[in-house]
Amino acid sequence: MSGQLLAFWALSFVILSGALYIVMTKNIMHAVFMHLLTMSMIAAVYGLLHADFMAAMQVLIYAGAVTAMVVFALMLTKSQSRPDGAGIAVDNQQRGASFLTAAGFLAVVIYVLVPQKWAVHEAAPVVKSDVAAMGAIIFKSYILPFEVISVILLAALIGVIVLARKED
Amino acid sequence: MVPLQYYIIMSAILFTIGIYGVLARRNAILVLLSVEIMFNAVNINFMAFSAYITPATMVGQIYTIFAVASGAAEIGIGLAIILLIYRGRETVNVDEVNMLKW
Amino acid sequence: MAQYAWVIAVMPVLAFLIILFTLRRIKEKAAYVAIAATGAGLLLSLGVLATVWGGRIFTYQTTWLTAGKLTLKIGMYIDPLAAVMLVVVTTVSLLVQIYSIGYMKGEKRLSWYYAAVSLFTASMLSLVIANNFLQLYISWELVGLCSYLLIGFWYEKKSASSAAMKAFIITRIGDVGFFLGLALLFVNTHTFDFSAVRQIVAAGSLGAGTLTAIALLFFAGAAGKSAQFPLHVWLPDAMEGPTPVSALIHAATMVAAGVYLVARSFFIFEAAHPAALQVVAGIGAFTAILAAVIAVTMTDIKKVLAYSTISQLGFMMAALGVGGYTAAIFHLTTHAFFKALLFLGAGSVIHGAGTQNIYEMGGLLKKMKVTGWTFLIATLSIAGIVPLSGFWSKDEILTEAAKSGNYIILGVLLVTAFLTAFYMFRLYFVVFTGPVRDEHAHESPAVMTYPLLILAVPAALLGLAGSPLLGNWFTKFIALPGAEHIAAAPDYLMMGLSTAAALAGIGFSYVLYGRRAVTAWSVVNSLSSFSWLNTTFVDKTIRDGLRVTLGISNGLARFDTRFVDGIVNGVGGVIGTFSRYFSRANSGFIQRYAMRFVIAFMLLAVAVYFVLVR
Repeated sequence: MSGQLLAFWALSFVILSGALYIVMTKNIMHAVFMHLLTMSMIAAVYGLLHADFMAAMQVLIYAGAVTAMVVFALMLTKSQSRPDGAGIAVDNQQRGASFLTAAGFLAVVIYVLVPQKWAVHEAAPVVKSDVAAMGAIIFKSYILPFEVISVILLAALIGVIVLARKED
Repeated sequence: MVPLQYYIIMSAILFTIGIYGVLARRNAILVLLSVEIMFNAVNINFMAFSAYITPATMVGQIYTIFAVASGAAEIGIGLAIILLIYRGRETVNVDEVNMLKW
Repeated sequence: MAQYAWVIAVMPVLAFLIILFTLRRIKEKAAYVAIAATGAGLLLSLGVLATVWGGRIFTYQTTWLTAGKLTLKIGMYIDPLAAVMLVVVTTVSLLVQIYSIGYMKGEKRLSWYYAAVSLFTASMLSLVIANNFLQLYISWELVGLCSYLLIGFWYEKKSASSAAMKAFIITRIGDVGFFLGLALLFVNTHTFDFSAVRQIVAAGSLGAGTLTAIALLFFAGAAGKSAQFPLHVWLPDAMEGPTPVSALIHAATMVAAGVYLVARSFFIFEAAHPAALQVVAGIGAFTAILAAVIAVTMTDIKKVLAYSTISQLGFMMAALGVGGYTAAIFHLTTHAFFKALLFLGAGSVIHGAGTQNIYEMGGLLKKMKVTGWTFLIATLSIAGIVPLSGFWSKDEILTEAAKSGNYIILGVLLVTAFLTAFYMFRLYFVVFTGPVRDEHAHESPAVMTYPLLILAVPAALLGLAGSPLLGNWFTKFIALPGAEHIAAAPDYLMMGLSTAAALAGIGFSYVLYGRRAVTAWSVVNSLSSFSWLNTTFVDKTIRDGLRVTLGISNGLARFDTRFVDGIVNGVGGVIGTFSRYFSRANSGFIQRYAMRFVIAFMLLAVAVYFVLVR
């Protein structure tokens, strides 16, 4: 068992148990902190895939910005479950059905995906991700999607302001 | 070298956990967190394929960048809507917001 | 220039939309939007008039929709008649809108008022430039709708909302006739286009019976819109609307639409059995004298003018009936200006004196100089005093009646001319001369008096354009293509007769009301039985007619509910039962929807995998 594989198992364990905690816990605040942890571990997985830039982005955006925003949203809304975990249920009545649905989905995905043979470059060493090369690709081949996504972000920005503004 | 299949299965499980969260959680913020988990499962998939199949052109990584950007927009709007609902209905529980029926 | 005529009609539509979408915010600024649109329309209309100056005709059309073999077009037919109507409508509309700034000041739904007036202006303009009967019919209904909206502008008042409904329903009775006429026309010609219909009619392939039926059905519509007996009863009640609206819609433009329709389809009337035109002449003349008699008995300043309008419209119809196409249009044009002036003057009086009862006014000339003098000009004009507009156009009608040899019509119209002068000067003497009865009366603001002054110019001088002094220029300009108007030598006998009638009316009125030499009441009382004939008899007949119609309708409705609906309800019930079952699935619980989505997606993925990939 190589070091990489060992790292993968460890990271996967943390990520999956963290995700499970998020969807199981009764305490919303704990869920948010576990979200922070899970996102950081996913960043580590990106590192494992030699995508250092994306790992940094993952930490900045998901572990940083998104978590902070969710914390703010939590502070602005009064959750009906108290910090000690008691209180009104955080799950709805279709828990069992949801579990079955999710399990069915997993079964379908694994049944379909696992036997697939992928054209993996076994021999080729994984290229160390190069930010400059990536920038060149984005601004040459993907300039139009890039512009579109910037418009989407702008629209979202304006939309959020309009939605969250107090009616006067 | 970790086989590609491992990544795929791991992201599939993560995605499934996200689905369960979206379907079963009552609190809208937790629903949004579950959606984030699903997003990240997809991103892991993209990253793995990028590293294993198209390492030179980095297609998957660039997809991930776009996915992250639209995910950021999505969570921003989502939280704004939750705040709006909370302001109007004093609740963030998804099953109490059921005006849109019939 | 003429190809841009549609812009004239589109601009008020834009004004309407702008005001409608900013209804709450725009407030009194709505007036400027509407006035700007109509003002630009007036300039363009003058350009269009200049383009068709030499009697040229422009047609433009484009396909509106195609359904199978049926192709419907919309377009413009710009001939001198349309161009003149464009100028008349935009001018009166513009002045009325300016006037309304003063008259409607402080009204809380002012922006809505201007929106409705803009929509009306647009519909009326689209009516006059229409190149086919269908477009004309659509505009026709739109002006009816706007009339309804504006009569009922003060809908808090029960009388206003009932008057609006009455106007809508009674004109609708005529409109049904118009619609049937359209259907009959289309079945026989397969086109709505004016020129195409004209060619088919000229070719003589339609039987005289069909043409007569079409003509009479069209006339039913025209009678509803132009308030001809027995469908005239809505117009006096329509005075519940704001006075500027009465000036615009119920004096100058919309009520003239009926005359316009008959004028537009005049070739059908000419080709039909002579009885069709005789009906038009008879009803027109009868309406003219009936309304004139009733006008004598009225004490509400607006009601007097309303009956006067009915009477003058009867004049125009009678003119059409005796073949005086150009005379009718000429009178329509001059009448639009002097009657608009009279209504706006009446509005100014009401504004200043705070009452509509003429016997509560008096001596107002001293208090309201501008209103009084402009009102006098309009009164002289409608009475038919040389050389004001009304004289020339009325004289033209009388000449045509004499030329047709229909001396009964001529006699009736001469008596009506006498009565017109009488009741108008009665109104003038009672309101503006004699002792001052209301010390608080005051002149209206400049924004109201300037439109009066501007309107006084065409009300006084426009008639000269069609007078023998200028070689009957107007009538030649407006004449039907092919029917060259022979410049008749001035008929001095007619001029003498009509002037004599007018002077007699004025003199009689002066004796009764100016000098108060004879008690007026004895005269009025003897005339009031006519009023009874109108209000009681006609209204009652219409009501009875409606009751019979309702009875038939109820019978049909019962068949409809028992049998036809039984089938429909049976089908609907079965579906409804299923729907009620399925609608339970629509719980509003979003995560349940999400779960269904995931399951459906999974099933789809499995299906695709096994069917396509394997």
